[in-house]
Formats: sequence, structure tokens, C-alpha cells
Amino acid sequence: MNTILVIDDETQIVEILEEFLVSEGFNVEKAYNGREGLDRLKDLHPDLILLDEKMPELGGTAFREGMKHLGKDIPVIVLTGSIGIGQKEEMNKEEYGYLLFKPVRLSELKKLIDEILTS
Amino acid sequence: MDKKKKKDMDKEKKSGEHSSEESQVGQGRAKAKMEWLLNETDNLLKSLIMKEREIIQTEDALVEAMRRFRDLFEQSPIGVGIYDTTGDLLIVNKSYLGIFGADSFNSISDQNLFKDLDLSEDSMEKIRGGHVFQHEFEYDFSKAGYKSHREGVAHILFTISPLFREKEVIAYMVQAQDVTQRKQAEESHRLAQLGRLLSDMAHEVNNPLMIISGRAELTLLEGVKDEKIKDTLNVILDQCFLAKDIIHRLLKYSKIGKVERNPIDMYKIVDLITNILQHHFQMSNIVLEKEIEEGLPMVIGNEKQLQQVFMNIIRNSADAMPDGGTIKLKAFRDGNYFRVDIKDTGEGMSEKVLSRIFEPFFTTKQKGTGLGLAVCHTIIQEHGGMLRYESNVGKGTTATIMLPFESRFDD
Repeated sequence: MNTILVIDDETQIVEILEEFLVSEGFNVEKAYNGREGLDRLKDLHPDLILLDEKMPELGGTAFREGMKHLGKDIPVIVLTGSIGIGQKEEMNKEEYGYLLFKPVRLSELKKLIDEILTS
Repeated sequence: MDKKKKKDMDKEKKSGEHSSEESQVGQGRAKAKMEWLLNETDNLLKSLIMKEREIIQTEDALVEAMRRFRDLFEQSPIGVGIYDTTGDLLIVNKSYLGIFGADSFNSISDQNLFKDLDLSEDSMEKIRGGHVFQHEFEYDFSKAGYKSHREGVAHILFTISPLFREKEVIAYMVQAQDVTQRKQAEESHRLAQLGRLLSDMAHEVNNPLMIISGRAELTLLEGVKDEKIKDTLNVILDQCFLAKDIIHRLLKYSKIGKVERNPIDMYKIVDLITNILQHHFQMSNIVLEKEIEEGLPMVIGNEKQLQQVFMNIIRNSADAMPDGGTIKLKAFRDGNYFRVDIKDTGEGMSEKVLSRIFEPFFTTKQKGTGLGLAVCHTIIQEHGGMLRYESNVGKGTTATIMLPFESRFDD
């Protein structure tokens, strides 16, 4: 069973993603900001991370920096409400990983997750 | 000599001796008088010379003062024009000519303050009543009735003030200023502010949208049997994504200035877009006629944005002709600008609609977001160009796009 770590400061969004992913057969771990997320990575190696960009304490970009520091190479899907919208085609994939804009269709999210996990 | 003669002579001699005594006194008087007279004349002359000098000095001072005033008027960095009470132009200074790109007074002597400015009756009343009045307008140099050194369209600000003589208005003084650059700077500043605001707003709004759409989708995935509830949930989902789309477009609108720019051959862009649309219009009874000048200098810009502009504007023309019609596109060199006129035979727009077409969210279409033209307008402005619309109800609309050639572009 694949494990997905969901990191978002909006608890209701975490709940929705958890419900959905569990119903799709994933094991879900949760964190509510970047710092908590990094803590979780010390004893956890998820197959995929769903990451919000704008969060208190430690945002998405800082989280990815920290992840690199820990030497963890885990695929990340960034779910964002604001940054870089409209410049998607100019986004650097290495820098941002996979990028989806909120609100996102759960079916679309599922498609991308499957794509990443099977590749 | 006979006796008588001698006697006479003696007599004469005697009388002569007598008169010489008298004349000595008389001569002294005359001399004094003469001297006095001479003196007086001299004084008079001196004072005349003095007076003349004074007059010359006064005259010089007057001439100098006049010259100073003329220089002040002529060389003032502010354009000044004097109009008579009927609004006819009387005199202008160099700066004024410069603003209109005119060679001489003759070029613009047929300007009329009241007829040309298209002022409301209310404003005219204010001006005639002697109030200082400001009026800003767009001036299209290609339509000036003379050969202007300037091109494109400028924003000109007129400050009209009355000139009084004994409480009566005898003329109007107009201070003319070119405020084009200030307008552009204001616009950029406004866009930067809007961008920050929108970015914050997007974050705040998209999170709740995600919660609404996520809940609706989860409920649908759990399996809803009631068709009515299913429909409702689908409407909620669709509307959430429509809202997302609007925010997405708004963000695009605010980030227009932050894109890559390259030299672009406008012929290629206009040709490509018109080819795509010609094909597209075949179904809807719309003819797109085009005439594009080739081999013109490059324009510095963003290819995708410029394609988007032409796509949008030509589509708008087509939308204005639901029963079909002709769109005439002409692209050519206009001074240092690449100019495109897009003319349709559609419904046209009223003055009221025309004045609002570049406002974000303003739309006359049932399914429009009201962002198309706002985005086009901003893109063209960010390219240092101009987008203008002219329209007559029932006759059609002409869109004019002007983009500066590479050499003139300063970022």
C-alpha cells in the first residue's frame, strides 16, 4: 500500500484529501505545516507528498529545501492557491515539482498520483 | 567838399560819438541777454538730451521687458495657447506647437477650443463664466489635418483659464501638457498594486473553493442516487471551477508585465492568427479579408501575449456579427508603429459602452467574463503601444492596435 503525506495548514482540506485518498486505497499521513512535515520525514518515507505552498511556520518552498537537506528524494505535488498562476508553462519542474492549482478536481489529482507512482 | 556837407559830416560824427556812449551800455545788456539766452538754450538742450536719454532708457527698458515677456511666453516649457472668446486660436508658443507636433502656427490655426474639445454644455458654461477648467483628451496624430512630427495617440491635458480686462473675459489662456508618460506610469503602478492584491485574494478564495468542490466531489464519489441532488452537486462543482477560471484570468491580467520579450516579426503573428480564424469562421458566414504589409521592422514583445490579443480582438469583431458579415484587417507601417486596423460590419457600440470596454469584468456578452479586452488593452500598453476602439451603432466597429518598432522601444 502506497503512503501519501498530506501537508496543508487548512484542516478541512487535509480532511477531504485524506477521505478521498483512503477511499482510493492509500495510506495517508498528515502534517499541518512545513515544520511538522519535516518532523514526520525523520521516521517516515512516504511514496508521495501533497504539499500546500503558503503555510505558517514553514511554507512549501522551505519544506522542499529542508527535504533536500535531509537527503530525501520523494516526489512532490504542490497544491497552490496563488503563486505562479498563469505562468504554469514557465514554471521550472525541478524547482516546483508537480503543480496543481486549487481548487483541484479529485479525479484529476488521482490521475496525476497514479502517473507518478507508476513511473 | 562844400561846407554843408562838412557840417553834416561833423554832425554825424558828433551824433556818432554820442551814440557810441549809449551803445556801449546797450551792448553790455545784449551780451548778457545773449549769454543768458545761450545758457538757457544750453540748459534746455541739456535737459532735452537728458529727457531723450531717459526716454531711450525707458524705451529700452520697455523693449527689454517686452522681450522678457515674449521669451517667457515663447520659451516656456509649458505649452501656452491664447484663444479668443469664440474659441478661435490667436497665438501659441513653441511648446504648444511641440505638443501637437506642428511646424508653425498656420498648421493648427483652425483649432477651435469649443468645437474641437467636444465639451459638455455644462463645461462650456463654466469656461465662459470665467472658471479655470481642466480637460484631458486623447489626440490622434494620424488624424490631424496637418503634417505632425508626432505619431500615435497622446494624452493631452488642457488647463483653460479666462483672461480678464475690466471684469470682462477677453480671451482664454490654455496651458497644454502632454501627460502620456504620466498616464502610462500610473497605469503600471496601478497594475502592480492590483497584482499584489489579486495574489493575496487568490489564496484566500481558492482554499474555500477547494473545500466546497472537494466536498461536492467526495459526496458524488460516495454514490448519490437522487438525480436532483446529483445535478445540484455537479452545478456546485462546475461553478467552483468557473470561479477558479476567473481568478486564474485575473492573475494572468495582473502578471502581464512580467514575461519574456523577444524581437517579433508581426507579419507572422497576424498571418498565423488570421489563418486560424479564417478557417474557424467558415461555418459562421463571416468573411475575414486581410492585407498585411511584409518586411517591416521587428516589434519587441511576447509572442504568446500578442497572439492572444489578435485572437481576442478578431473574435470580438466576429461576435458583433451574429448574422455574419465582413471583417477587414489591414496591417501596415504608421510612422514608427506597426499598425493594425480591424473593421467589422457588426452592431456597433454606444458611447456609453465604448467608454467602458477596457474595464475588467465589463461585458455585454451573456457568457463573457469581461476580461478579454481588459487583458488585451493591458498587454498592448505594456508593449508601449496603443489599443483604441471607434464605433457607430448599427454601422460597425474599428479596433486599432499600434505597436512601436524595436528601435523606439525603451523598457
